[in-house]
Amino acid sequence: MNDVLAAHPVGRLGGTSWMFFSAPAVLPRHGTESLTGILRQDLLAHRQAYGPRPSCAGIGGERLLADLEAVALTGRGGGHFPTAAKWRSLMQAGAGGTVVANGAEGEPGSAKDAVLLQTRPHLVLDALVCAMETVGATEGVLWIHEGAWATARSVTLALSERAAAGLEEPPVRVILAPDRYLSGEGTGIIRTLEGGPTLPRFVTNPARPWSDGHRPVLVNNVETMARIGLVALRGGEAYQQTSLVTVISATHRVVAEVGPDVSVEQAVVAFWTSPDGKYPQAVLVGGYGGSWAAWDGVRSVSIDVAAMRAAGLSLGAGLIGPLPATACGLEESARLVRYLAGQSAKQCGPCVFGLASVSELADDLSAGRLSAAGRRRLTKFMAEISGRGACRHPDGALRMLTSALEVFAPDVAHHRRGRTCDAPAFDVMPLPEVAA
Amino acid sequence: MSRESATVDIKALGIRSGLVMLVTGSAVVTSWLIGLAVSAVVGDRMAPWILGRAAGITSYLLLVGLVLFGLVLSHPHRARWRRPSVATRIRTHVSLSVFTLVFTVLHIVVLATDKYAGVGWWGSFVPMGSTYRPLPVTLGVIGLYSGLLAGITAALAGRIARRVWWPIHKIAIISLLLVWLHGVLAGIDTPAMLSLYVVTGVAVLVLAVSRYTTSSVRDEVAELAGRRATEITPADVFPVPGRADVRRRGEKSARGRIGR
Repeated sequence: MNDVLAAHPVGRLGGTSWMFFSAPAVLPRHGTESLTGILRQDLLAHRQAYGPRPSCAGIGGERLLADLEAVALTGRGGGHFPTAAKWRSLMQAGAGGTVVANGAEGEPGSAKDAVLLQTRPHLVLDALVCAMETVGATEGVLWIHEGAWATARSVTLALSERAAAGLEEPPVRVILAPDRYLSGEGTGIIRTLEGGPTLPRFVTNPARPWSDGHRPVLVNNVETMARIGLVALRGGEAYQQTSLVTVISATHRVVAEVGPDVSVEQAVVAFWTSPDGKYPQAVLVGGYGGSWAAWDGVRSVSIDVAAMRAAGLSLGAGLIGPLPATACGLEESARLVRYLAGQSAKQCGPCVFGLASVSELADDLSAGRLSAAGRRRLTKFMAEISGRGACRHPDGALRMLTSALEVFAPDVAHHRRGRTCDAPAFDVMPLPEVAA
Repeated sequence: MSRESATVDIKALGIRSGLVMLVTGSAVVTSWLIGLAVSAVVGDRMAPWILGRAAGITSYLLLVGLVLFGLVLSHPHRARWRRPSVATRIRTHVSLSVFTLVFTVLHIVVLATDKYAGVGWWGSFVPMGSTYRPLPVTLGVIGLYSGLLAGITAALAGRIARRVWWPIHKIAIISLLLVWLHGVLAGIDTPAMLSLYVVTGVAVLVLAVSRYTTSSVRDEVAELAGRRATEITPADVFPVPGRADVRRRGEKSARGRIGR
């Protein structure tokens, strides 16, 4: 019974009602330009569905914060930090700050933020305006990638729609960040708004990531924003603990919303196209800086922030990357580490030199030419780099590689003295062409 | 004791006894060479002169090695080389500096005390103070002072800020250049010597060019930082044909400045 028999009919998965999408969105493997499956909601459709946006100034903001605490909303960019706590630390810094809706999903595999901005832009913009009113910010920013033109079109059109409807709202700027993995990193966004480069920086106090003498900045991921929008428009009682996931197949990607009782297996059966009709051998969960999990261990785990954490995983940016039974997990991991090492901001030694060395050793391992001394060096480097960068970039790469060495341990034993596991060479996870 | 740690112990023992043999062997060879040199020049009136020249050439070769190792230490690709290890590179650089100093002192002492050399203590330390070939000797004297400056600043590394000592340390380049000229102008009496200066000079030049033209991590960060985020307006995304202010994607004028 190792075959994926009849795929579950695509539709309602789990016992919850939909927050965003009643059907999955389908995208190509690369880029976010030709989205199919979900129609864009313009301002009129949005207002018909949700009604007018309530004011979030003063008492409205307090109510929103209480609702966000009641539903225990955490950041969906991958960090899963409590949203209300983040807002309160900005409110302590005083009024006149900037609120950023971060839609530059750096994860090349993930597309959930692009799908949200292309189909539900007003949910995000309502939340952005509400956030500005609540924390007393005077400026809003929509932060997206340079190459994400379909997304840029959708959000600028949405802003035009709002202006044409005569909405009295604080200004929202659309800023395009360079196309690279770390462009969505929070400290890099703040550094850019302060007139600096779009590169991460050391932050001594995570509750005050902005520089003294500059505007306080609040950065929330786009999915987090859309959820805030739903809470603001419908109240906390109607909120459902769903998750947006991107499931990667060999030919396409599916972005879908799943309830907290949907297992990884159900999502894989519904949204993944197996190249050989078999279940995957393992699943990459969270992102390219997430963790590999063996199929037998992860298949019954629910796609839910808490359930994932209980299973020792993190839902991260919502990436579900099944590895076909015929593929080689070590080759795939070495490829991803090489990509992540190439995407380093080149600012911290552990990342520039350490991650590059780890990547070379991982390549040696996948090619079956890693000696025993090389194995020891790999373990040593991985221990030395961990937790030492300004941002969490090297940590993510190491987490993924560490999980690969555990999950694919039989393969590690096999990849020796020039032997590999003879898997056909094909790339499972999509990477941008420009990656070194 | 596990089998693996026993292997390691035997390996460590082998390395240690190898080292002892190496040191003993090199001591024997050195003594033999010194004996050979002494017996060759003993009773020779030219002995101090020959010794001074030999010390000078040795000092020059050590200085070349010192600078080559310095270039290796600061090369942008240093992290890609696994052997010799970083610790070995630094130790070698430091050891070479010590030996360079020792042979330079020998070179100076021998020639300053040689009554026939026409250099004297005055000429050894004061520019243009030598009666023998004043200009080449002066180049050597200034080379010595700049070399000392480079050495002293490096010795203080770790105690004073890198931005203070590192720029001063680069005076080592001037030191080598002056010493090279000192050698070329005052130290060539056979064609073999000329080729020595040419070959060593070219070696340093090649490595220096590679070190200063290879892009470093800092260059890469500058390149990454140079790609700025840009602000867009609806006109960038939905160009209106025929309008003068139509901005096209990627066009500089359309790009708003971010930050204040």
